[in-house]
Amino acid sequence: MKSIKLTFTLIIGLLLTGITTLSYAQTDEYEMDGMTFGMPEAEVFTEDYDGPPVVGDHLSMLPNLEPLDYEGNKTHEVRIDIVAQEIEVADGVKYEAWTFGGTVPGPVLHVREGDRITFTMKNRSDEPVTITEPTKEGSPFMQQVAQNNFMKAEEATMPMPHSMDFHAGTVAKDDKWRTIAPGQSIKFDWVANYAGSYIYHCGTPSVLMHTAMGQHGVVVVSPKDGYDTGYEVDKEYVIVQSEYYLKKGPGDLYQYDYEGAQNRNPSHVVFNGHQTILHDQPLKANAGDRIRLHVSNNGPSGTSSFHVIGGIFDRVWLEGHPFNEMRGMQTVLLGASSSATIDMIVPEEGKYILIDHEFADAEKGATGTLKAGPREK
Amino acid sequence: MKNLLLIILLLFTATNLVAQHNHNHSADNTLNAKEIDSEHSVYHLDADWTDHRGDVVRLDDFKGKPVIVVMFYGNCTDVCPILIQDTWRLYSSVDESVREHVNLLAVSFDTENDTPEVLNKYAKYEQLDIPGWHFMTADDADIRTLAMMLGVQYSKKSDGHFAHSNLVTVLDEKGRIAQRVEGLNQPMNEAKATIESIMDRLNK
Amino acid sequence: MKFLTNIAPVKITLEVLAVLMLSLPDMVEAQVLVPSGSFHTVMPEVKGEPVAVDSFYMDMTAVTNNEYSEFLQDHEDWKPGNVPSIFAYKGYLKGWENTNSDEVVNPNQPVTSVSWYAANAYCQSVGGRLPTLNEWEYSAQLMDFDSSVDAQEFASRLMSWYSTFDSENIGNVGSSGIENRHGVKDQFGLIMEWVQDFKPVIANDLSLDCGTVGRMQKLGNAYSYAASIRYITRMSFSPKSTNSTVGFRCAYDVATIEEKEANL
Repeated sequence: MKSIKLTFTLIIGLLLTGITTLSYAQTDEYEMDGMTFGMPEAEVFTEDYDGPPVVGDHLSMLPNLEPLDYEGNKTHEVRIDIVAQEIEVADGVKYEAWTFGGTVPGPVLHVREGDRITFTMKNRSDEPVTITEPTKEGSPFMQQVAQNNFMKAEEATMPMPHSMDFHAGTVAKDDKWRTIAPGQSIKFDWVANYAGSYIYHCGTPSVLMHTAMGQHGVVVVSPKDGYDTGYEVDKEYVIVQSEYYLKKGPGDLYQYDYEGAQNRNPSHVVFNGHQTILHDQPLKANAGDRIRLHVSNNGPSGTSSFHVIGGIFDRVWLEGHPFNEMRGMQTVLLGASSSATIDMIVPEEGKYILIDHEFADAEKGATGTLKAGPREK
Repeated sequence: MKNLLLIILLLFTATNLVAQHNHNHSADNTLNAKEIDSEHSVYHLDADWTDHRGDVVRLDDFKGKPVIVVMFYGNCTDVCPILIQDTWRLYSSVDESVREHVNLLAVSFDTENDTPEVLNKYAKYEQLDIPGWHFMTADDADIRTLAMMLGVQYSKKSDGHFAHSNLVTVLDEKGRIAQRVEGLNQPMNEAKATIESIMDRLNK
Repeated sequence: MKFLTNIAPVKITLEVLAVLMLSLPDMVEAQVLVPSGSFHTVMPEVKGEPVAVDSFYMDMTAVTNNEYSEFLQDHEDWKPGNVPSIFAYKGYLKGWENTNSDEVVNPNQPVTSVSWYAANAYCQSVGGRLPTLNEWEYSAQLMDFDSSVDAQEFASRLMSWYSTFDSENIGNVGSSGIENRHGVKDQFGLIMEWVQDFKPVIANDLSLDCGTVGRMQKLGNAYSYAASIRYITRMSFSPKSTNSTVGFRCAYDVATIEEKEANL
């Protein structure tokens, strides 16, 4: 069997082996600086699942943040399925969106620094999924959408490949952020090693298109020792800024404006996915309250110069990390996928406007209202 | 001869160590074997194959015992010889008493050149015209279907050569994928163990 | 007539074309010859070297529900319920209430929710095969436009289509209004189509990350951007995928058609 020729080829082949062997690296779990790395390989499989698309105790609809009703760390079982959905993003503007969980942005996941998340996601873009029926097995997000369907979400079908990229996770992207075809599911673990507010979005190319079509959301990772402030916060909200690139389609629906997206010329720049929602349903507080805003700029391409008209930010933690404390900021500059946790004292009764002070954005909808009632104490 | 063996051993160890940590580096011709579903039998493929002895066979003729499958093409001079060598290494590592029950299917995706006669010459040249080894060909569409089921990708280039995955597959007695060894010069001990455990189970 | 900017000059052997086209009997008029040529693909290629494609025949339109239903009458083992799960996901032919050929819903719409294995088996049964990726893409870009403005506009519409295709309202074959210069219809506008090697050679180097589109659309026009979306979408499928917007058409070797010809 071992002819000379074969042996020679074998030697050459052995040298080539280094460049021709392919596999997913499998790193065993380890700790470093108190953080956990080395997650098991993701599983890609098919399942018959047709239950609620969002499952998990700490998932809510914007601007709500589900409280962490436990001490220390825990492992969360989370499901966020991908569904296509027809939604309204501005008065009279509806389009068929690609979404996580049925809304744009997707549900807010709240965890604590150090928590582990076992995440499952099914690509249900080829099946119609209703998100407005309240279910027992679904998360608080689903109850909230059923009660307040301001996006007028309706089922739609548009089969496309998709993936998940949690910025809060530290994993190999070729394994966990894999693209799955319609009908497939993916399951993997990740640990929220760092505190802060992190975008999640679809990483399948064209990411510009997938994000602009609606596939993004936020994970709020609360620091394990909190923010060192010495005071209690009265109200906590999550705000996400994002752009839409839409143009009128042949029928009633709008559609993706590819040229607009390429040229960074959004049709709408909004807070919490809808041009007027934070005016129709303003944030509420009282004079003298300390409110905490977790603000994320999900892009896909724009920046945000976030300001609250009438207020000054008492403390700002850049990216939401307790170490990055700034004091007394009028405006926080957020690049695409950047975030900040902002504490503000509500000075007096009246109206305040949340705004992206880049007025080309503001005039496309990047504004919202905070209504302050009388001082309670 | 001893020196040669020593050199080979050193190179083997060195490149194997390098190989463990390399991913997403691919030579021009090598493709990933895709994610595949291992719960189902390839014997569902209803087709006629001709082996290098000129016999017409069907895949399910081999059911009931473990099968090793490898896909290659005859004119491949750099990579396929290693792949065939790897397959031989697996086959010959299996215990003798088990080996006599194992069939090995070497399927060529080059239907234009690798006719049964050419495959016969190839088998003889590689000294692999032995009982249990079947070099095979069939219609393009059937070969492509088998490749899809195993997760082997191949594509014909304009120079007549093929860019292809490197994969050695072990099928169980029902034709379901029991083990896949992807890449070149991979350790075969797990695959050997799988084959032997299938036989153990069958002998109970 | 101006062409899309990424086409390399096409060589048509007129004699071959004339002989084959004129001698086509009725039974093969649903297939047309796509003559050999070359084109620039969005995949990485040797600089300046377009991909060459040999002549082949292609179905003028995608395989319809009607045609697929006839296939099922003769191939019971491809009826839903009889197909082993190695060959298709559960969604195979979802929406087909029953498989009797006299009750085909939307008979002239392209059949969808068929896996690669089903498409491959169908084409085998009619003496053909699935087109290769290069054959399909080559044929798709052989279109003529009255001006480069029209070509740009078409490419833009393509991008819109990839973000709005509606599986509820696919439309009959031939209804897209899109046709290449040899009469191959609807390679865009109705459905996505299976090809033989839908995960092409260099797929691994393109690790499907955020930069992929940038690396693919080096041709710098909307057509190649849309092509990258199409390649990426197609590459993500499993051969068992049964998507409501994915169907197929068949290709045939020139020799096969000529033989059929000669036997008439």
